[in-house]
Amino acid sequence: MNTLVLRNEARKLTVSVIRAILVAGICFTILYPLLLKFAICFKSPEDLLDSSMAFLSRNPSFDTFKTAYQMMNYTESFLNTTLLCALSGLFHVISCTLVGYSLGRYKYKFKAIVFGFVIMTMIVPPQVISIPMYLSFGNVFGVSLIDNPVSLLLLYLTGNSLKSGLYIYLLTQFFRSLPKELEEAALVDGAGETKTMFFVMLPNARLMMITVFLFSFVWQWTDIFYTSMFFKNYELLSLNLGVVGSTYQQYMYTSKLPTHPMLISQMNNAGSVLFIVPLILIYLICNKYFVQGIERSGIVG
Amino acid sequence: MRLIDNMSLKRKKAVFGFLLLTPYLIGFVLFFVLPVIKSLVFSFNNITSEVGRGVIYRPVGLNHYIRLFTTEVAFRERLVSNVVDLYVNVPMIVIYSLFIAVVLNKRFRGRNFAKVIFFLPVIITSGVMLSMESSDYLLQSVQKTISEGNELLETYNAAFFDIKTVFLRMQISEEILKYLMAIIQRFYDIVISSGVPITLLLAALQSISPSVYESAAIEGATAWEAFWKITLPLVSPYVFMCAIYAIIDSFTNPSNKVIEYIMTTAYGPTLSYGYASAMTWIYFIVIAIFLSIIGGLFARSRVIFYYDM
Repeated sequence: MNTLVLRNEARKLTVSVIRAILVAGICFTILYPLLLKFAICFKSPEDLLDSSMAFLSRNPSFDTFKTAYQMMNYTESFLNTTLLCALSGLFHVISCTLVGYSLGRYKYKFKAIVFGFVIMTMIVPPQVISIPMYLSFGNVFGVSLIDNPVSLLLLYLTGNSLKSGLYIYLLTQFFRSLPKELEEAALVDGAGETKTMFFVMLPNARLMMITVFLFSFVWQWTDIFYTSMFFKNYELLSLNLGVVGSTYQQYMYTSKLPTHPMLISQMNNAGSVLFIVPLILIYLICNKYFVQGIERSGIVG
Repeated sequence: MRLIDNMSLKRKKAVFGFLLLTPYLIGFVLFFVLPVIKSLVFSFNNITSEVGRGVIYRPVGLNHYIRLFTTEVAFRERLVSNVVDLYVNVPMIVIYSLFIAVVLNKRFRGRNFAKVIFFLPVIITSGVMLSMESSDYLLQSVQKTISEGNELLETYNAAFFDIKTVFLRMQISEEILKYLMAIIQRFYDIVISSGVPITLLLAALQSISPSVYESAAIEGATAWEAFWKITLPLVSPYVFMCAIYAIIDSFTNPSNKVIEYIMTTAYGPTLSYGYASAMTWIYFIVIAIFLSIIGGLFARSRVIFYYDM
């Protein structure tokens, strides 16, 4: 009897040790580039050339961050980006909820086809349609919508923008999973369609709507596909990050200072860190919504 | 108003539901269908855009496509390497996600922390960050020195240490070995693209009632048997979904080499919109074929419960 208990304990211990090593290893794989980025940024120019240290630095300094902050025009572009992402989130919630609610709760003739459209917008890479969009947005009734925020807002409001298909899919599945009795009770109590929608069904979907808002916010933050098409002349973080290295090079050149590929690369890393810190904060605070949104979307179960 | 009052409830509901769709449908036609048709037309034309005169079409027939399949090498090369990438990555992403989901499904200390970290790449390694990472000099050089160090180690200790020779001595065929080596090299890519699949599969695992496992255990099933006979069949529809997700994710990824090439052709110094459109169409057809093959495979295998969309 004793040996049996002992054997069982030993097995449990082995399993948990193996599991701990595995999970810790994968966590390290994911965090390693991030840690490396942080580490690189604190190095002074002499430390960069010192190959005896990978992570630590002899004279840590914040100078790189300060320069990167200037190079990216951070304050202005941060505010612009936040505004754009918040609008993206809000408009996506409105447009995708309408479509998801309609597809999830109502029965009509062409529903399956419309759902097929939604899936299709997910599968076709946006690059396929980018060229004609670029050309046709350049001349809409004589007005150029390129470099004009209106164009992107139009895409959000109709639910035909970056990853909209995914949001519509999530919301559709969620609305489909709500019980029919909710609607029937509202009907018996004398609520019309709009009343049922706004006061009975949508409050139930709060969690899902927050999830869509957050995903849209975060993915708009990192997007360069649409922003480089429609916001070329605006101060946005994602655009400024993409060129932070060359901006720095130019700056050093005009002020007649020596530069080095290492320094440019360090600038890229510092820019990336400044760029993702807000995202990491949002993710850590709202982690629940990101993960639970996918878990409870009704796709599963 | 009378028209609405006279309708039956069912019909009224249908009309209301359809009305909710109108903004989406308008947008769909304007910002999806029309551009798709236009891009098809573009691919049969030489396109130049001139100030004041708008877009000028010069029809060339199938020339762009013929050029892509005959003289152009760079595009085909990238396309093939992209598809080969998928052939290694997608099965691995699915297997890895399922494995991690099973591990995370048990309670242990630090589980929530691990969940947070595993989902982190979905947030931070997207869009511009992906291209920053793949083009960065310092990150690359540090990683390169590490891998070069490994190679050095390999040549010195080949007799004792080299995994490759060990496997070769075990009579494992060269092909499988190449595949395994490719997986080891891509481990980071696989890990960062598994955030959403892990979450989906974890939710699927949690939806299986524990009583199923209990009764199986009473009947004498081991955990290994329970995995193959209960877990896998029950989560198989979601495994399929994860495969589809992984394919779409990697095909539409902006740091993807084919897409990079298309974008430089279209917006680079040559500005060949028509030619780039032809590329996107070939690319899209390849995606469609890939997706339908996967769909066909899953539909054929008996384990799958047909999942009603």
